[in-house]
Amino acid sequence: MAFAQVHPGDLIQSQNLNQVVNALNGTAGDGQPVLLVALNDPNNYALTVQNLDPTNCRALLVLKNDGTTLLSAGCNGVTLGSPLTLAAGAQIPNANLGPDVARANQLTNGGFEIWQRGNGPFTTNAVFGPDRWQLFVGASSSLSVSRDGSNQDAGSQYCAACTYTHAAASQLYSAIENFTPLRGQTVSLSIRVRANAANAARLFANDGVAASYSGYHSGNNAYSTLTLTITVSSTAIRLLMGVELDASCTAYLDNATLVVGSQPANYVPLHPADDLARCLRYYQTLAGTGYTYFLPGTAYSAGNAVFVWPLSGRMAVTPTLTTSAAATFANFSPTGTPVGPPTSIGAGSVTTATVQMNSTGGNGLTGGNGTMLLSNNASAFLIAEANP
Amino acid sequence: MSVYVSDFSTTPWHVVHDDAGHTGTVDPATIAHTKNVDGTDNHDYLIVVCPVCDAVSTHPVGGGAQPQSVQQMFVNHVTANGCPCGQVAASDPASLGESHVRLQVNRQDGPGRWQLG
Repeated sequence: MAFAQVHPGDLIQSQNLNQVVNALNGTAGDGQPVLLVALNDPNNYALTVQNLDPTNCRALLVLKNDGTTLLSAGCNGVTLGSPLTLAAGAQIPNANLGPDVARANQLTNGGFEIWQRGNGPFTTNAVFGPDRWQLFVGASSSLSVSRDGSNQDAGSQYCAACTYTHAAASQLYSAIENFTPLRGQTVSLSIRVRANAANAARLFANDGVAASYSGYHSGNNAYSTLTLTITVSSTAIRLLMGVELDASCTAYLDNATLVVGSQPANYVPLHPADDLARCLRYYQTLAGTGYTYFLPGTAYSAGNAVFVWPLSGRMAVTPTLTTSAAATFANFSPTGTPVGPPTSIGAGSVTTATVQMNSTGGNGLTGGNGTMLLSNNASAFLIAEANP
Repeated sequence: MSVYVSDFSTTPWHVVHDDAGHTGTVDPATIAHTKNVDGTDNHDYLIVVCPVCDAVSTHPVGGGAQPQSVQQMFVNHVTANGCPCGQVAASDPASLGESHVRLQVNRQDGPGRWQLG
């Protein structure tokens, strides 16, 4: 009900005044039922208004001269109009950020999208499955980790599927290479987890000084976000973060983030090039079928050649080079045909940027000529692996 | 993926080719250094061959894929054989060999990489 105007000279009727009083008292039907809690309270606020209508608690609306909203406040929150100008130095602290505010993810392959070692299943204690995610299999437990493209979280391509039989706690975790700058800082881990048993899957963090855990997934076999916030010890000697399994279950893990601050962050996918580039810091491989060209080199005798593998970016530490058996390789002869295989192949020297390799005992080469290292069959591979 | 020693307590040593799922044993005497261009041994690398599939891992002294195991392998190797650089003889105390390996690790991957006690 709209207020009635009172003109100069009009007799003021009680209903005119009562409209105002009723509105201020919060009487339904007389304007918006508003309770003026305080007016110009010297100890608190100049104006405090409460809307008493239990179904319509909009309290304040401030409009521009064109009728658009400058400020509205009510049960649905606060809406600010445009332009929005914050005072110089105004800040939104980390603790007040929403989880959908993207922040730098400290994890490598947090989306479980990259599986350079294959799709699994990975079952052995201490091996890596998805890039940078390592298995810890408790005594007498069994854990099988595979790439899964059917049960991933919404918007994801792959997740890590963990089939677990419990005897002692087991984990799938990532070791944070750059943990030193995180000493003394508050960090938050967030992982999307789906488990089909209660009290089975939870997040954990271990900095070498103390271990911390989140609550368990409910076991309702639906994805939910588990989070864990810790303060990394100032004397941390490592930082391992991941999922611990404490009861037999099937669990799917996806979209993990580790961010600085007390507010966990939702996963935001990296561009695939950036996602892979992070992984290549720790693991690089060349593999092929018959006669895939791997590396250029130079023959220095009829049977021996030297090759250089320029790695894709510097690796975290000097890598281990692992090659398949020599019989899986061939060399490229001066007449343009594959020759060999060599009797041995291996690294001469390895740095974080290059691998120098030798093949010896082959035939058909000419010293001083260029050559190539080829795969001789589908089993050929070169792997550089650096685990800091 | 690498081939590394998982147990030094018995001879031959127990090895694991992790991603391939292979396990087996190797005689420590077959674990050799890589060769420099001039044919001499390079004390910064050791070669382990998978007894199942003949895959070859060339491990750097810093540890590469398996730092704890690899550093221990270098220490055991230099203790038993001395170092081809001539700084450590097989007859020297084990602590001298370990110090030498630790120095190599620091030079290759920097301080903080050493993972043995």
